[in-house]
Amino acid sequence: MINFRKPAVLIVMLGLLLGSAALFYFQRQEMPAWKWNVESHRLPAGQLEFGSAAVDGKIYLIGGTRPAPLIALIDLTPNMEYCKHLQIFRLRFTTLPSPLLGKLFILPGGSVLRPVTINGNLKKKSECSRLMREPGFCARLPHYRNRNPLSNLSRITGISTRLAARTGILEA
Amino acid sequence: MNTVERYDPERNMWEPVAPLVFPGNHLTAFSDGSRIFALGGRVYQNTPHEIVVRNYDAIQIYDPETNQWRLSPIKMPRGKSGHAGVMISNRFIIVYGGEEYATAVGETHIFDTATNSWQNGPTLNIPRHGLGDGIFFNGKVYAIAGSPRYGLGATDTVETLTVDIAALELLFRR
Repeated sequence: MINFRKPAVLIVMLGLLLGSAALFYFQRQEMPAWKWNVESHRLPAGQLEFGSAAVDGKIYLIGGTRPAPLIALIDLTPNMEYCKHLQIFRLRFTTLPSPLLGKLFILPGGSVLRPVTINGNLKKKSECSRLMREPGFCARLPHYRNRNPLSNLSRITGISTRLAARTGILEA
Repeated sequence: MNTVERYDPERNMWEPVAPLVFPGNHLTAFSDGSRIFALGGRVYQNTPHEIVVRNYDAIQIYDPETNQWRLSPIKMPRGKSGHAGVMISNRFIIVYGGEEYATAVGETHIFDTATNSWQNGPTLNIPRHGLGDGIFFNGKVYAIAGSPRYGLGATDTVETLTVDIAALELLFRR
């Protein structure tokens, strides 16, 4: 049985207690340095509701709802030294998440916002010829889908949308 | 909707799998190689006068072996949608940003799939939602663009969070 009246036992117990407290304190001190840093370089323009993925040392942003004309694909260098538009598409894709298959981006569904297209018309041809491979390579989703239910988005924003069922495949 | 579809690149075909427990949109999903975790999301509930947005705090887990979704007994710290997230080391899910009712949020939470527990992370400098899919790249988590306010909007700012995996393991060992 431990004799708590002996000074040596008390000193050891006190040492263990202080050691544990110090360990806990210093472990807690590791995390405050952990913080989000705002990078000095910004995107060419704000963007919302886009797909994104990193491949081959680059981050790709695909689609999105803003601005007009839409930046469909942005090459963002890993050290943030510069941002540039690789291509600009007039299509408006509110993309679903973009899983990667090797160097292929799989873009299932999404929506096309009508009001900001040239002359209000959608260019279906460019939809598949520029952003995606030939239609034969694109499997259609069983259901049309994107992140926003069509009726509710229209009611909230007054924006007319067309949901896409086509699967886009884009090679990095 | 709560439907889930799986893409087979070999056959270039989509096929339906078991539906989610909860329908919704603006949720995030991650895989640890054997399971899929779907976190948060929202549904719109129509009332005679307005559309009410309801955010989920649920974690739904899919097992491809049994083709079944189940609800995790552990919930998210708060109901959230429009957030981003990354899976790190097939174990830690870092969830950041998003939208709660009528506001964009900047909070970060880390979920350890091994211990089924949450820890708080640092807060984004600029709250944002709709910030694309989470990116974990060269040891950093990226928060790119998104809207700093509820609904539509857009920022051109980029924030990064350096992740020390050993520190994460230590964080959940306490």
